[in-house]
Amino acid sequence: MARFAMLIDASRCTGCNACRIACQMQWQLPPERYYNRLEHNEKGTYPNTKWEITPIQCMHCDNPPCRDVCPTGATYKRTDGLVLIDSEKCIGCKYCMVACPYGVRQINYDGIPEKCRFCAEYIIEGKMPPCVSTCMNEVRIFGDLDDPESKISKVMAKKAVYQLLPEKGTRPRIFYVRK
Amino acid sequence: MFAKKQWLTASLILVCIGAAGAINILINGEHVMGNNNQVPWGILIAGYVFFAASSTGVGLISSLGHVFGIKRFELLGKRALLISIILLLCGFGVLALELANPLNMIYILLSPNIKSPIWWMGALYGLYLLLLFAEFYYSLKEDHKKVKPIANIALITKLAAVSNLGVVFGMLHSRPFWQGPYYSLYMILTAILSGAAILSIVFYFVGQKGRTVIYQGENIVRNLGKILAGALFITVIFTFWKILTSLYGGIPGKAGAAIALLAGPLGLKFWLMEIILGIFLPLFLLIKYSFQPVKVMFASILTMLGVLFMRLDFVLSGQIIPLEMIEGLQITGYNAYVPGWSEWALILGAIGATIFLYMLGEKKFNLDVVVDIHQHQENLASTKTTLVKVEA
Ligand code: SF4
Ligand code: SF4
Repeated sequence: MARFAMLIDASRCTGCNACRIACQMQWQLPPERYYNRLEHNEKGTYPNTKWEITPIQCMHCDNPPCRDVCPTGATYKRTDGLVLIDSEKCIGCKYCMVACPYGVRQINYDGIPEKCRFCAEYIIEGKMPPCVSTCMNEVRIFGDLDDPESKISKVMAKKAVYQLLPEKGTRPRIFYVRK
Repeated sequence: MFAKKQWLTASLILVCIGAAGAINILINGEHVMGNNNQVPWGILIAGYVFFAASSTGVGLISSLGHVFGIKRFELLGKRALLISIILLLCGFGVLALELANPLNMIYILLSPNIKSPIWWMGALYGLYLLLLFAEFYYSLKEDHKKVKPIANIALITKLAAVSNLGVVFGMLHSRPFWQGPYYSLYMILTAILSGAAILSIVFYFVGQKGRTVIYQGENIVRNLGKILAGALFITVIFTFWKILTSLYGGIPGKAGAAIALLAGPLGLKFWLMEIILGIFLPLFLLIKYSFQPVKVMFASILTMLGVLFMRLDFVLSGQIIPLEMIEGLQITGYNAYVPGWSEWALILGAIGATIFLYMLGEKKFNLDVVVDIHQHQENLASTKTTLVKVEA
């Protein structure tokens, strides 16, 4: 069984937002809704300052609080690790939104809190999510951690990585290359 | 004070306002509501907590009579049950309109997730409503043998339900201001607070209509006023320590939320509505006038106004600080939330519906409870003596 994950090298990000727009095109989202975003952070003191950019999207956590709090089981985790929403079962209580420590869920027009789906239908055909394929600087690497030959496995074996908010116990499937 | 007709008209106007809000939400969906991706839960969740906790509070106080056998509180009997039922139904109504797809609630039964506090909330409050109906039915039939065991189970259920209501928020590790067991205890306490206030208002007017509200020469509204004062005092202590522990150490998410309440965007609601109008003014009225029934009634109306804002402050304070997921990220400002008119209208409508349905219940059912026939006669005699004395 595959174990899908993503590695993000934020230091390569130019802040062009192409990933966000590609995702919006893929899922036909209006401009105000987005499943991935860039967080900007100013570091250092004048005149030695720099803009640090961190791409954020659903972490497809291995211990997802959004799934645990969902009263109807509408939010579930697939065996390959993807955290998805069954809109047929969703009552629209938005509990998953308040439970997610990464603030990645967005209310869609049916009142269902959607988010990055790791392009569930595309990746099983071997395609890459558009946020990965569209990026000019190869900021994101997507792949199967159970496959030692996958690019993500090879790069992660060489680089020091970290996850966001490890203290929340969510065990994210998105890893960041340590700067 | 007001004539029956005026109450009826006022409640129906409120119901119409609520219906307008409900129709707007049903037609246009989430988009006419103030909640957004940063503040997913708004005033309707606060409204649901307001009604559900009040229903439980009324139930908890009436348990003093029919579970713990404290005679004077048996006076509350059927009226308390009816109010509890109406408040809970209104709470469910508000919640149903907050949910985007309430019809999918069938999956709470078909694919239950028992790890979810909201699942437990549905289960416990659903059970509580059934028990309330059963208890009310057998109380109307004066079948006390059946009422007693139901009341006992209902007491456990309501304690579980209202403390679980706090757990819905307390389980969220993503929201440091809510996380922990504090809000479970706070919910029980503030449920008693609103329960005492609502019963005081109702029994004041019931007394005005010449029904029995006196036990051993003392008006039940005075006793309820004392419970209210006690609950208000403890709420001050709870709130004080909650704010202080949240500020202490400047922990991200916690301290910011406390500052938002004290001196941020929630400041006016917190100080003016929750603390001054909702706690200190009622306490002043209660103590200054030694629990005079009419003053208890006024204090209770103020308390309920305060509790409404207390629920709103509680729901918003947990979400007002932007989530911090990147170390050292400079968080500036607060998450914005402005409720839409439809949401306020719905809350007003639910208050109107509570008053209207209660008046309907008073008309349809015989809600009087004779605690003890000898006692009752004594009361009548003492009332007559007092009247004679006054006339003399
Ligand atoms: S990032 Fe948020 S929405 Fe995504 S799986 Fe984790 S908790 Fe759920
Ligand atoms: S909004 Fe839908 S997916 Fe989210 S917790 Fe509620 S039922 Fe589950």
